[in-house]
Amino acid sequence: MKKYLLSSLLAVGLVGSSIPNISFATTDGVPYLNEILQMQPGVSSEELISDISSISENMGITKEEIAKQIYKELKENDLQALKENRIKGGSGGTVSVGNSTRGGSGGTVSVGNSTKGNFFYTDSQTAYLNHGHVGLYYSNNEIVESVPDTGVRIISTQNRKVDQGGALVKSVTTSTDNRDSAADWAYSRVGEDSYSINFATNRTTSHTGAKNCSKLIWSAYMLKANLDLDKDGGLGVYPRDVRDAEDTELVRNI
Amino acid sequence: MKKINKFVIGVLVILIGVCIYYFSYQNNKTLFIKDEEIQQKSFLENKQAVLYLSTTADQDMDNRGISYSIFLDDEGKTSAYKMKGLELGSIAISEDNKEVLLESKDKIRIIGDMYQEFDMKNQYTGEKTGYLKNRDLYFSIYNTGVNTSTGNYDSNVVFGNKKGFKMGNIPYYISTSGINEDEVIILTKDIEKNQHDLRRVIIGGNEVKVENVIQLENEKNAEYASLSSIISDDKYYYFILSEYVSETSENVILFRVNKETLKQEKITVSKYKNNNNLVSIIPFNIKNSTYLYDNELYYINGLGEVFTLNTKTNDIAIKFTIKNAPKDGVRHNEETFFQNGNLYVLRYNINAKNKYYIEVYSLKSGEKLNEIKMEGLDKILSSVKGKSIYSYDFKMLDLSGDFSE
Repeated sequence: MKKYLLSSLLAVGLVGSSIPNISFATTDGVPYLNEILQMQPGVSSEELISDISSISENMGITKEEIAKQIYKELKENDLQALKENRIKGGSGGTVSVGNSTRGGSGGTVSVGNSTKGNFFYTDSQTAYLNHGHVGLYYSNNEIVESVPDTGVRIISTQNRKVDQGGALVKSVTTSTDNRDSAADWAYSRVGEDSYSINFATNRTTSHTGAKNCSKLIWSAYMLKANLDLDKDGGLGVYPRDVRDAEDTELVRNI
Repeated sequence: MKKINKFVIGVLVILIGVCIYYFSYQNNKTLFIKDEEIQQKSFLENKQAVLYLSTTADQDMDNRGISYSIFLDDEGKTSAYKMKGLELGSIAISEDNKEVLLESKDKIRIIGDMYQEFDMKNQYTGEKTGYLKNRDLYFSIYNTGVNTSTGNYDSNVVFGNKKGFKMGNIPYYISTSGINEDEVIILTKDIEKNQHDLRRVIIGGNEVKVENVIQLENEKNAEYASLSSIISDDKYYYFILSEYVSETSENVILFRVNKETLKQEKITVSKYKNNNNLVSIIPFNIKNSTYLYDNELYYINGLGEVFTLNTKTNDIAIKFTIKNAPKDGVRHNEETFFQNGNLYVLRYNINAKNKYYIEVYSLKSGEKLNEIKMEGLDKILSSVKGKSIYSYDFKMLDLSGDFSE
């Protein structure tokens, strides 16, 4: 079943994908390896090659095709981040994340209370990449989120600060029971799942075990509400993919 | 002739460029504190305040999360000491104001008379830092996360002094905390059961002991979130919680627990209905939002309204409001700190010459007594590239300036 699901996801992701028309180096039979690693700081070359090989074996798709798909998704996510930063830079003087700290010179806000099962999105940067970050409301005033090293943790909505502008709270269009179950499942991972830096192939990894912020919410709704909160499918689910997923609705801008 | 002109212009442009670079470098150099400077015995002598800012834990994916302790000197100039990030980290001050404890992801530093630093296990989220006078102990409690072997939520504790630090653990998720004489008092939250318990933490020797005080009464199964730390006088523990009603409504409740009889009281401070911006009422800093002075409990909310509860009569009132307080919930590192009958508010005004400054208010009269400039803070903050930092603590160090009436 997992194999079937992964094959379907990849097939959907690969349909119509236009591979960037630039020259690239091939390492160990994997194209774009260096480019992918640059956009996934912290993921080792061995880890990436091993992931790609395992997906390739499971799905009967070449390593080259998989690497191209990963590269395409990362590039799109990066371009989306740049586009959003430019828009913010031009509206009302909010400073681009890449150029300055908006926590310093711009405004910051507490994420505030919301309904169980809703989630928040905020810009978040590591290295040069603004990959974004998402966290789920386990209760009206507690967030469950996956953060580096700690893994899945709890933090109060009053204490969780984000940059104003770009951050938002969204609800998921499904029944209250499903939302509650998804939040309960995410909470059940607290202390169980460590953090994984790998966004590139996180749709193909197990729902349990190490995961990042977007994978936590994606898995919760996939398992408990049969909803795929990923805007563009493919191999990786990124925070922006969850934010822009079809079955989500804006509650408020932060 | 034309060639000579071009040459002169070229040299001038290069010179101007070099000058701009040099002065900007010199300027930035004075904004940041070197290791050898902070280790000097006299470092704190001319400092009047300290502000702590950090990245959030999610930004530490590349192990490059940062935090700053920013010191304000007696001339109103700020300078920053850079450390590794610790979200919700805070600062502790010794009783005589001669030592300051700084914490970061991987270190505890005691600065002042004798600089010392101690390595510790990496932590990512702070909860409470303080000094227990009679035990001569600093402590810091962290929101560590669930322990995979026990299944309990862990709040690790480090405690010690210049002789060394030890580590302990509080096996609960902490909603808020405070210091009561020589012990730490915590409000723990069992998130699954929606149960809050007041507990006492005794730190000392080689261990951290936790004793139950009382479970919070919650007949309506309301969801509470902390808006203050726990403070106490001879008779009571006090803390302020928000009671969730809906996305747009909530009540702010003052809880008072009698230390002897353990009788609990809930006193409504304020109610908000059909309010689309409830984040605006969250205090500038939850840890520094309450204070007991002259039989009155003071609470400042995010709208700059200073509420008082008369601890003898239970009368509640808005005593005064700070001037031109932001009403939209958007913060620019605003902070509050109560001490010696005064309220110190770190303010931001984009149009002012010094964008950051401290206002001093008299708690007795509500009058603004003074304004202290914070020169250079905007430059320090805007020098941070590629990360977002947030203010998490603020303390006045030198209270010798007598602003009281």
